[in-house]
Amino acid sequence: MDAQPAPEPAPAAALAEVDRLIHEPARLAIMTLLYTLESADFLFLLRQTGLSKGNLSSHLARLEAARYISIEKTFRGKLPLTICRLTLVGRQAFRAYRDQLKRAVAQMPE
Amino acid sequence: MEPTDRIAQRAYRYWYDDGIVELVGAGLFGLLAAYFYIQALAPQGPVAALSALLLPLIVIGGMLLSKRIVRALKERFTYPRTGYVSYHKRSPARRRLSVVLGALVGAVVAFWTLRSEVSLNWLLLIQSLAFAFGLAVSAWRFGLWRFWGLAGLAVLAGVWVSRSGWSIERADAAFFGALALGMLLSGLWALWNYLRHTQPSAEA
Repeated sequence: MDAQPAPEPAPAAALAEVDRLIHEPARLAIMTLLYTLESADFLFLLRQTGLSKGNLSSHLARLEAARYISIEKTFRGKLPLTICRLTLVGRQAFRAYRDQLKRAVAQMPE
Repeated sequence: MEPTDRIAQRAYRYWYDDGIVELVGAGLFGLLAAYFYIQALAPQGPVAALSALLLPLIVIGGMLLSKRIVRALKERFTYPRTGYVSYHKRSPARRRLSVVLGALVGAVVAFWTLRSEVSLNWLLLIQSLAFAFGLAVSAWRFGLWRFWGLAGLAVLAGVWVSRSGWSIERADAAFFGALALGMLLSGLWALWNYLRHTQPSAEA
């Protein structure tokens, strides 16, 4: 008996697989900035994303909990400094998310 | 939501937002202009010989010192206002490729100019086009409108000095002097704009 070909996954399944942690607009902006840069501090991210301090802290905490970013707290002279950078896991996750989106967008109707 | 390619472009452009790179670049080009002017005044003799030794020092030393000065100024003025960033370093392979490509282009230009006995005018024009190309690439990559202006200035300055009939030293002094002035004005405008829209922050 011939083996049945595997059914094609439903188109919506591809969208459902998109990394929701990165897919949120504020976190996507943060991840994009950190993917572009080697590292950035809290103040830079604050100004570039336009988020409030609390909102940005919350998103950074979620990304750190998922090990997508690392956060280093240090000092510049007497001023506290919070440096963020993508981890290897975060970098891979961002690339995977980018590829997922490309596939999903390619399948969109005109 | 802002497109992600714009977000990335802004991150690269951030390095130029404060105008510090242009101001320091203006200083370096000003030094080169002064060097060539001195060479024009004393084209022969011990002054010329001594000053000929200075060119590699000015170029290499100037570039190294410029990097330190830019970093120090950003630590003092930019990072406390709008935050600290560090950029990915180019991989050794990409650095090697840049060196090889640069050497190749230089060799081709040198071979062509020597073989064809290209006139001084053409050399000056080629020089200005090379600078303009570099500035235009930066303008396009980072979305910096004022760099398009500087690229245009480089072309105009090149056309001007190539038609002047001056000696190469005087022409180079004028060319680098024009670029230095352009970068000074551009950098000052960017710095004024930057300081006007930002305040030092208490924490980062």
